Amino acid sequence: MAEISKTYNPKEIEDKWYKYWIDNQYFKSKPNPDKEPYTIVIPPPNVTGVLHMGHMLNNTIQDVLIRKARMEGKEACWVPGTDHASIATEAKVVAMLKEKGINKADLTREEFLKYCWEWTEKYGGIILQQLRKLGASCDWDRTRFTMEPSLYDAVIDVFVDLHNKGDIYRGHRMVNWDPQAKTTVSDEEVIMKDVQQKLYYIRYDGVEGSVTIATTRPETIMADAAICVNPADERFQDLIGKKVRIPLINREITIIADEYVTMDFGTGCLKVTPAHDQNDYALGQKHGLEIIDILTDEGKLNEKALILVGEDRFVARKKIAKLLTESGNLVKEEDYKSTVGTSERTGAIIEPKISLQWFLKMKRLSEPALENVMNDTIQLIPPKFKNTYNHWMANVRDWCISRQLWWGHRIPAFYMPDGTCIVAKDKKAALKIARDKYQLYALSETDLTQDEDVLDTWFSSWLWPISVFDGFKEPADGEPYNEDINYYYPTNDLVTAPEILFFWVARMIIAGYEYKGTYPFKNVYLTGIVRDK
Amino acid sequence: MSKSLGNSPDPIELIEKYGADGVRTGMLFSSPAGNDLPFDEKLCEQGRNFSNKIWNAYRLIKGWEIAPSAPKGGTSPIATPPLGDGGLAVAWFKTKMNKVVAETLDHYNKFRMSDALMSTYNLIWDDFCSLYLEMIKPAYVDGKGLPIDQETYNSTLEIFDELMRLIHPWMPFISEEIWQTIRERNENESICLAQFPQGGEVDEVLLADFELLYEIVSTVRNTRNSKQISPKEALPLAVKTENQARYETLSGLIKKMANVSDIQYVSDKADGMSFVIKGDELTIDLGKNLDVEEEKAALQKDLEYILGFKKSTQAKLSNERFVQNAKPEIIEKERQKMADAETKIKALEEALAKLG
Repeated sequence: MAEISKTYNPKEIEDKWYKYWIDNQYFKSKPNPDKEPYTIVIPPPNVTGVLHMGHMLNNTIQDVLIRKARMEGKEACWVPGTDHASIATEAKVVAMLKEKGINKADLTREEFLKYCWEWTEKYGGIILQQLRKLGASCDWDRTRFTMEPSLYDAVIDVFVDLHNKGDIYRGHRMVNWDPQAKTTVSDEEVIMKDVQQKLYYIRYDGVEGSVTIATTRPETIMADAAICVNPADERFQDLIGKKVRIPLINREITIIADEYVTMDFGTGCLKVTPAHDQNDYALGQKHGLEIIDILTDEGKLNEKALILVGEDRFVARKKIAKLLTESGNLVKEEDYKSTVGTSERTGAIIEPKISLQWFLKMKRLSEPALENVMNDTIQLIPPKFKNTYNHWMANVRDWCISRQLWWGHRIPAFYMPDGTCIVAKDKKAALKIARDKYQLYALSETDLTQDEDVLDTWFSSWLWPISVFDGFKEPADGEPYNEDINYYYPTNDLVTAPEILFFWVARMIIAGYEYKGTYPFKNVYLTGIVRDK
Repeated sequence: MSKSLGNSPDPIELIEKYGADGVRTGMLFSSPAGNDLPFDEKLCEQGRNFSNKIWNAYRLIKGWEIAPSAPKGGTSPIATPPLGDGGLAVAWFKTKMNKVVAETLDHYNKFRMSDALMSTYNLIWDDFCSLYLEMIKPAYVDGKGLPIDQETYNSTLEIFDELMRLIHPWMPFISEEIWQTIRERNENESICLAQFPQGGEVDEVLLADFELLYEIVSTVRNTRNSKQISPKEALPLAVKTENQARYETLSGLIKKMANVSDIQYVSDKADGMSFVIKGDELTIDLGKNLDVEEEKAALQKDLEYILGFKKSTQAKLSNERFVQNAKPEIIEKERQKMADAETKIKALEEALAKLG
């Protein structure tokens, strides 16, 4: 018997045993019909991320569960992998290029993606190496990545399938537009800032009377679709349904009534500009108002503005004020403190902009996902999260799945020269549809343009418990069926953080019922957040 | 996925410092599902201390000399249960372990991860290291440790094997390191694939007997402390009970752990310090075993020292220059010393009077 050292030296011991475990393939798993499977899929960390304390907590729990199951004689399989993290990775690559003096806008899509792959290869997998230090007993031979071919194809196939089922559609949506970077930015990337502005009181005249509104954005009056008052406001009872003219351009708009307007705020009359304000957009949708977008992508007035075409939005603001003074429609100006959203990356003032996005209808899809959590087929631990889950799923909104980014799964929608959109797996399949459906036999692949946008990162990770076992792939020749997916799915336990219960967990449950007809995991263990003491 | 640590410690640095096992347990000591974990590096320190505790316990056992067992005609020593007190301690620990394993499995089934860890932690730290090892520890005679009998030794290693399997999911590295040397292993064997403890029969009567044992042991120890009697001094114990057999079973361990010289079963109140445990009256006879003259001499020595101390303090306080120039808090301190000395003198004089 060797002498036992006086003190315990973890460093020497840990590397020695980890290597022994890997060399002896104790963590490797194969379907074994004689054993009960016990499966966990890792919440895939960002491919270029590094280990933080949250990962430590989360992965220790997973390792404890998987090691215990292995010792209990189960066929334990812990699948590791990473997520391409569309927006996070793209932002890092853009910043890296900027340091090198390269502007993303000057690159082609292919050039930019080459940089993204280089970045991924350089930093990808560091986090998986770090997990080995913790002792994580993953089956490393099963390491998956959301952008690898098999998982990429799964995302595309699911998009096409859901489109064919009528669940995916294109629609308008107000996004945060950065006119300087010419891209949309997510809500999280908008920084609110206090600003000193002017509040302009503008009079709109009509045959049967006039109304005065207050606005900080007089340059958008040309995009107005209505004036709105509160139906209970006695001052304007006679005017509801009547028309007034927009100053300077003399276009007639109707005075509508909605409880949304606060009577004692401003003048009690609100200009409704659906194309350039989030709330006005919602009001416009409700009342079926016209959407008149008068701004270019650079934030300049376009021809729909009729006047001051080509002027920058802020220059136009001052000029309009002057024109309104001259026309006698500017009642008064006041100093006004308010907040505006600015772009985290460029500092430009965010412009709410209506754009065409892809959506997934959630109502039908989420029904089984709601039911099977509420009836405990899938258990949330602790169960207090059932309430929040229920609240979210019962009021679920359609999911905007397109992102104006390049790093990710490119939307498989192809446009014909006339703008007709064909959703298909690839150009070849799209061309076949063009020929079969539209009899356009002369059309060639070069006539088709693919949608520029990519899919939301969660649109790939929601398939994770199925796609890591190639569950969307047709079995290879000679194989009767995919042994892995049949053996390991549904998995047993998922260990993750509560803040992604909806972004990720709920959507995996949805995809599970839609594509496998059953739950993706039996138990969801929600860890706490590791905080400073 | 969860983050929110402002100046987040680097997990890899923590692993370097406390060992992976230390960090793993540190994170889970107190982390119920869905509740935020206020992170403190001390948790990892506690985890490392736990690694050291396990390591030192193992070293202690492996350092014992083993008395060769009597030939048992072909049966392997591991299959032979130890006799006597060793056997009793082994039986108790195994039943205790079965109970804790059942509780632990229940925690696991309900995903109470911190509870699952803590029940194993307490089993190892308190029941195994503090109690069990104390029970089976070979006696020291003339500064030399006696050998432990082969059967108790083997059973202890068997128990250690099971403890390592129980803690393995939490502490994969140290458990593997120890498990590999508990006995010869086949090539390519690993604790990773060893059987997780399943629990077994629980002898509630035995558990209750040992509850009684701890209470007696800790009461005798406390009494010794309060009377300033050396732990090395064996004291006789008188027991008034309806259940003599129960005490007879435990008598060896009571004697060993509480350093009791003899246990007498009495029907009336015995002389000495009495206390009641679970309805039985136990009496420690302090007087008989005290060397009155020696004790008197020791008390007298203490008394003289204190009297001398009192005298010098008194001298200081009656020195006018000292009283005028010293800071008030210093004078106050001296006065306090004076008062303490007087209290001690009184106590010592009373003790001396009792001894006659």
